[in-house]
Amino acid sequence: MTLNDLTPQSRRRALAGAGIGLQVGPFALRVRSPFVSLDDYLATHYGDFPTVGAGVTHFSIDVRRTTWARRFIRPQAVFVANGRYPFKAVPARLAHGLFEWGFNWCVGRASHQWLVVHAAVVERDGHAIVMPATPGSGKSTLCAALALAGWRLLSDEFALIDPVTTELVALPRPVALKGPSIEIIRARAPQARFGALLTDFDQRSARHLAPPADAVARQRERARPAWVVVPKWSAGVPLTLEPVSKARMLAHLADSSFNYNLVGTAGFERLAEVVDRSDCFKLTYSDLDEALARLGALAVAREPAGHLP
Amino acid sequence: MTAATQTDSHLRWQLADDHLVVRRWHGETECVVFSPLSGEVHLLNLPALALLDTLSGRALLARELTEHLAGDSSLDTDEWAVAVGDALTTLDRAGLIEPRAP
Repeated sequence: MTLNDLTPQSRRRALAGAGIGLQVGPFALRVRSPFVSLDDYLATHYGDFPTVGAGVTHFSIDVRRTTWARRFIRPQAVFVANGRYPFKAVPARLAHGLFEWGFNWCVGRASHQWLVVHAAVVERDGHAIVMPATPGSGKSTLCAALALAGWRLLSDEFALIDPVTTELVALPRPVALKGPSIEIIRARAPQARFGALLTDFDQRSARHLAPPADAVARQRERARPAWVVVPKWSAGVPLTLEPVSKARMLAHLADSSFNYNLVGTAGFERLAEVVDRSDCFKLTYSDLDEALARLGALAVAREPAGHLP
Repeated sequence: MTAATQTDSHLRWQLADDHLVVRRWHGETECVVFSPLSGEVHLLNLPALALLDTLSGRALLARELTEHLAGDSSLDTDEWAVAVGDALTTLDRAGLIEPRAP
């Protein structure tokens, strides 16, 4: 049963009451909120995800109102996860963004059964591209475009690496697009579902692109790392795909990891193994279609690996 | 600590962590060192790695390091002295080596 199988009335009642249980990638979460805007967002962006009962819950998330008076005067929303308040309250119109930022916080703080790297991950024919990148590099734009062009979305934010097998675990959540990227992706996929406009802490506009239904349906399938690509969008530059030394890429992945040092030597060794198994590149591009074609050519050059369970 | 201090003749240098983990790939001129003690990763060039290898299990003066390393290279001793000074600076700042208490 998926969230979409609930009627709007029962979904809204559950969200405002005992909460809605969702299986998102490897995480079971329970979400509670009185905000209708968050209910609408969950329906459009998490509608394909399976619902789960009240058993094991990794993250118990509340997006609450603050005070009674704030219902009427500049209403606010506050995020609570497993009883903790990691952020200040924000205007209520940002409730769905607060949910996503808070979910990111949960994954970054409490996923130490995996190596967690700040990176987008997409897969084709069993081979995955891991794309660690800094904000503003165009990572999410490229990730969204790849996900709309036949690559399976594993994650826009987190590469979850199994510390035993080095397989990548899928967490196919909405893709956060900012500024001009919103219209670039909307033009490529007019049918795609976008969340309401947000203004983030830097006053930049952002919208969340719903994950493709196929990525959600296959969220239990893992993938093997085949390439580590550091993307960098830059206006007017010709496309280049330059090899990067494995040592340099390992240092970059470690820098982008939330927790390899908590796992100790084993964590370092697993990151090294990901690099060892992968061809490593720096991709500089200005034309999204050229970038898609170049990455597609990488995939074509590899034998399909078959699906992992 | 400055490079000038590091090459002071009276300082003996030793590894700050005896359990460093090194990953190096064939044909590459850089390697990665992980310190389980600090939990940090460092990208090093090969002279710096050679210096770490030389310090394994012992503490040496900068002059002694230069002599050891110069024996393995076509570089002359003066060039190695500069290279060792640079590598000591890098490794000291990275927290991979430390002066031994007198």
